[in-house]
Amino acid sequence: MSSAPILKIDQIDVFYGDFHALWDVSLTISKGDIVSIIGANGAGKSTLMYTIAGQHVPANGTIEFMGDRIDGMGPHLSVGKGIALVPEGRRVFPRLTVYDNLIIGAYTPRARANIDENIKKIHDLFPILAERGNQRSITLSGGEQQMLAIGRALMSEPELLLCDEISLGLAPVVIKSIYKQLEVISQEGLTIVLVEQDVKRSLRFADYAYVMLEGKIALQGKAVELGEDQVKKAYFGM
Amino acid sequence: MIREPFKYRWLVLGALFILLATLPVWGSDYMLLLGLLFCLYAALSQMWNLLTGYSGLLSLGQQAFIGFGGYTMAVTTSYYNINIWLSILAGGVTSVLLALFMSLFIFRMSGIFFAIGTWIFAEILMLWFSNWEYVKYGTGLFVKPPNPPSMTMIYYAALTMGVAALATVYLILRSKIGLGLMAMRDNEAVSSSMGVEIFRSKLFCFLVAAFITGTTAGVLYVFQIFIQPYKAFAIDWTVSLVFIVIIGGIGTIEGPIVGSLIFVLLSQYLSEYGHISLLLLGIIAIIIILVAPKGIMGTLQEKTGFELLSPRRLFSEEPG
Amino acid sequence: MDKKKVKKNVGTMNRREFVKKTAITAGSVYAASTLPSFIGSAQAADRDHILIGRPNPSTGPLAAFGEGTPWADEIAVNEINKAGGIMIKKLGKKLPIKIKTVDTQSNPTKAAEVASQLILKDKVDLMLFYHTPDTVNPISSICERFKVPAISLDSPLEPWLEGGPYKWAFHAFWSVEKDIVPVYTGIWDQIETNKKVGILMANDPDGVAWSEVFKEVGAEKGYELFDKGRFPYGLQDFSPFINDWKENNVEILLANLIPPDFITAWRQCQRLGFKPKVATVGKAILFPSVAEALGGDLAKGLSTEVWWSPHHPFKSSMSGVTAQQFCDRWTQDTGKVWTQPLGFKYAGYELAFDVLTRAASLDKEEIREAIAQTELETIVGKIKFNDQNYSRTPLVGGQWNKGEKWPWEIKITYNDPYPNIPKTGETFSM
Repeated sequence: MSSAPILKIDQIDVFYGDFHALWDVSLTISKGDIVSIIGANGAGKSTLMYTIAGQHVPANGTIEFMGDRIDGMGPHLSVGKGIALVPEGRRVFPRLTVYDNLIIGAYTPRARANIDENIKKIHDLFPILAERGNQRSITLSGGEQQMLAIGRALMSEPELLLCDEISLGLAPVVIKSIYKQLEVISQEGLTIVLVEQDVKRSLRFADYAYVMLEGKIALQGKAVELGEDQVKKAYFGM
Repeated sequence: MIREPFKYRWLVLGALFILLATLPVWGSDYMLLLGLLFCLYAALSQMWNLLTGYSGLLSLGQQAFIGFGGYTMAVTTSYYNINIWLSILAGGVTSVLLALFMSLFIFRMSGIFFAIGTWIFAEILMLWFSNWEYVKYGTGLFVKPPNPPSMTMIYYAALTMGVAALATVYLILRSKIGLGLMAMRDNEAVSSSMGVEIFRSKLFCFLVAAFITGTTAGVLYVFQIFIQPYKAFAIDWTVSLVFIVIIGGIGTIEGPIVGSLIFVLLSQYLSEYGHISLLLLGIIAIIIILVAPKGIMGTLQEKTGFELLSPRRLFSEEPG
Repeated sequence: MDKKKVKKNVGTMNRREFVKKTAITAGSVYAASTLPSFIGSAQAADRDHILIGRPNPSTGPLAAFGEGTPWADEIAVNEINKAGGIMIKKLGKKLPIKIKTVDTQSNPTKAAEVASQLILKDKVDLMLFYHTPDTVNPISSICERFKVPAISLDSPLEPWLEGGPYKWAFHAFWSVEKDIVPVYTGIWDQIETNKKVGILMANDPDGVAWSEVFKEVGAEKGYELFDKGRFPYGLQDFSPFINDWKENNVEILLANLIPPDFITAWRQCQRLGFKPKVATVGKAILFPSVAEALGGDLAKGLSTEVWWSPHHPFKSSMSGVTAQQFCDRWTQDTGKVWTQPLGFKYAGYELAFDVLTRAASLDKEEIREAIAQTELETIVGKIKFNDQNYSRTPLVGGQWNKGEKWPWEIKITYNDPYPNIPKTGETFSM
C-alpha cells in the first residue's frame, strides 16, 4: 500500500552535548505504512523518534513532513502539524482523569474542532477508557495506561503516529489486543512508526523496517523480504 | 471508584458567599476585621498556589508584588490625590509590568533557580525603595487618600479580591490553559509534545498572579495605612503564604481558603502569647503536615474524594 | 455579653488557661469562628474595669526597648488600682484599670493588625504604646481610623507628624530639629575642633530624618559635613566611610544607627586609626549594655542624647517618687543599671491616670477631650499637648565614662536648653 512519502529525513546528525547520537541518518516513510525501527538499547531508535517529534534539533540535515521542513520546530508545533508521540513508559498524566488525559491530547487548534467525535472513536477502540473516564489515570493498570497513551496521541488527529516501546512490561495478551487495534487504525490510513525490541513481532506487523546500530541505519527493507537472521546480525553488528 | 463531585457544591459556595457578603450587617466590627484579613490572605495564597501548585513555578518573591502594588497605591493616592480604588488598580497594573520585566531574566531559569531569582528581585526592590528619596527612603509612607474609605468599604474591596482570585483560578483551571498547566505539572516534556506551550502558559499565570497580588496588596495597605519597605518587601509574606497553602493543601482550589481561615484565626489567638506565638504556629504546621501530609484539603480529597471546586471535567456517556 | 469571657481575655493568663486555649485553637478553629465570644464584646452596662491596650515590640529587633515594660506596667497599674481605680461618674463607682499587652514583633504591619484587634475585639478604652516609628506610626493611624484615644511616647516627632493631622492620637517626645540638633551642636561647641563632621547614619526612619535635618542646620551653623550616604543594617565594612573622614581630617563624628552596627563601625574606626575629638552617637549607645559590649575602653568619651536619667529633677504625679528613687527601685528589683526608656514607660500611665480621672468617663470623645487638655508634671517632665497633638519632652546631652558604681556611667555634660536638669560632669575631648 506504499504511496507518496509522508516523512523524508535527509542526512541528519543529532548530538547530546558531545555525544554523537545519530550519524547521517536518512529515511523515507510512505503514507499509510507501518514502519518498524529495530535496534538494541542505545542504538538511537528513541533519539530518532524524539527528533521526528521535534524534541531534538538535528545539527545538520533536514526533516520534511508532508512537504514542509519541520526540523527544530519544537514539540508543541510539530504536534500541530500532525505528528503524535506515544512516549516510552506511557507517561500518562497521573493526577488527571482518564477523560482529561484524552482532552489534553486535543490541545492543538487542528484537533479541537472534532473533540467529541474523536473521543467517541477512541472509546470504540478502547472501551475501557470510557468505563474509567472519571478515574485518575494513575489508578489504571499498565495496559490500560498504554491504551490511554495511544488514545491521547490519537486525539490530536495525527497523520503520523510514533509509538515508542509500547509493549514494554505488558502481558502478551494485552500486547496482542493493543496491536490489533493499531492495525485497525492503520487501515484507516494512519502512518505508524514503531520502535520495538521484539524483532519477530516487528517484522510480522510492519510493512517496512529499519535496523539501527550505533546511531546509524544498518539495514533496511520491506518487512516481508527481510529474514529474521539477517536482521539479528545487523542488530548485533555482526 | 472516584466519587461524583459534591452535589450541593454551588449551594454551599453560594451560602458562604452570602454569609461573607452580608458580614457587615450581622457581624461585629471584630468579625469584619477577621473577614478582611481572611479575604486578603485567601487572595494572596490562591495566587501563590496557582504559581507553585499548578504552574510549577516556585515563587519566593511574591513580596515583590505586595510591596510594589502597595507602594504604587500609596504614592498615587497620597502624592497625586488619585481616587483610592483607581490607585489600587494601578498597583495591579504596575505589578504586571514588574512581572514582565522580571520574566525577561528569571524565565530562563528553572526550579530552585527560578525561586531564588524571584527572591533576589524582591530584595533588590527592598534596597531600591529604602534608598529612594521619592518614597522617603526607609522611613515609610502614610497612605493618605483624598477620601479615606470606611472599614466596610475596605472589607468589600478585600472580599472582591478574595472572590476574584478564586474565580480566576477556577476559570483558568477549567480552561484549556489550565488543563495544560495540570499536565505540565505532571510531566513537562510529554505535555509539550501534546502541544502545550509551556513558556506562554507559565508566563500567563505569572502575570495573572502579579496582577491579583499587586491589587490585593493595594487593599491591604489601604487597611494598614502605613507602608515601609523593610516589611513590605520582606520574605515573611511568602513564608506566610507557603504556610497557608501547605496546611490547606497545595494544588487544590479549596486549600488556600481553608489555610487562610486557619492562619488568620491562629495568628489572632496566638498574638496574645508574645514571643512564643511564632513557635506555636510552627508546631501546629508540623502537626498538620504529619497528620495530613497533603494538607487538609489535599488529604481529604485523597481519602474521601471530596472536592468543592474541581478542576476536573466530567465524562458522561454520550446519549445514544 | 458574658462577663466571664471578657475577663478571661484580659491581663495575664495562667497556665491552665493557656493550655486550654491552645488546645481549642489547634482543635476546632472552624468551630471557633462561630463561637459567640468572637462576636461578643464588653458592653458598657456591666463594665467592671477600664481596659488599656498595650501593643509592645516584645520580640524582633526592637525588643531591647521592651526591657522593663512588664516591671513598669506592674508598678503603675498597682499604683492606680490601689485606691480602687478611677472614678467613672456615669456608673457612680470606681473602676480598676486592666492592661492587655500584645506583641507587634517589631513589625509595622503586625502592629497595625494587633492594634485593630485590640480595638475591635477587646474594645479597649485607651491605647498606650511606645518605642520607635515602626510601633508608633502604624498604631497611631489605626487609632485615628477607629476613633480611639491614643497616647504614644518614645519616638521622634518628625516621622510621627507625617501621618497627621491627628485628632485621636497624641504623642510626647523630642524633636530632631528642635531638640537633637541644638543638643548635639551644643556638645560639639564645647570642644575646640576644626568643625568638620563625618556622618554615619543607617537607612532607617531615624537615620534618614537625622541626616536631612543636620545637613540643613549644620551648614547654617558653620559646620562642614561629610556624608557618604545611608547604609543598610548589618553592613560589615565601614572603611569607605572611615577613609573618607580621615582624608578630610574630620574631627567630629555624628552617627545614628543600631547597636550592633555601631559596635562594628567603632571597632573599625579604632583599627584604621580614626580618632575624632567628639563622637555624638544617637540611638546605639543609649544603653549601658552596649557601652560594655564595645569592649576595652572603647566607650570612653562617646556622647549621646539623654532623654531621661535619675538626675532629672522630676517626680511621679501619682506617687511622688523621684526619678532617682524610681531608678533605685529598678536596680533593687532587677540588679540592673537604669536605662532611659524606664521613665517613659511609667509616664505613659501617669498620663492615662490623669486623663481618665479628669474625663471620669468611658466615652471616647470625652477621653480624647481630656487628653487634649492635659497639663501634667510627670516623671519625664511637663507634658502639655499643643494643637498638633504633640508635646516636646526635655532633652540634654551626656557622655559615657568609667563609673564608680557601674562599669560605665553616663554623665550629663550639656544642659543649656534645660538648665534645671543639673550637669553631672564636663565634656572632655576624646
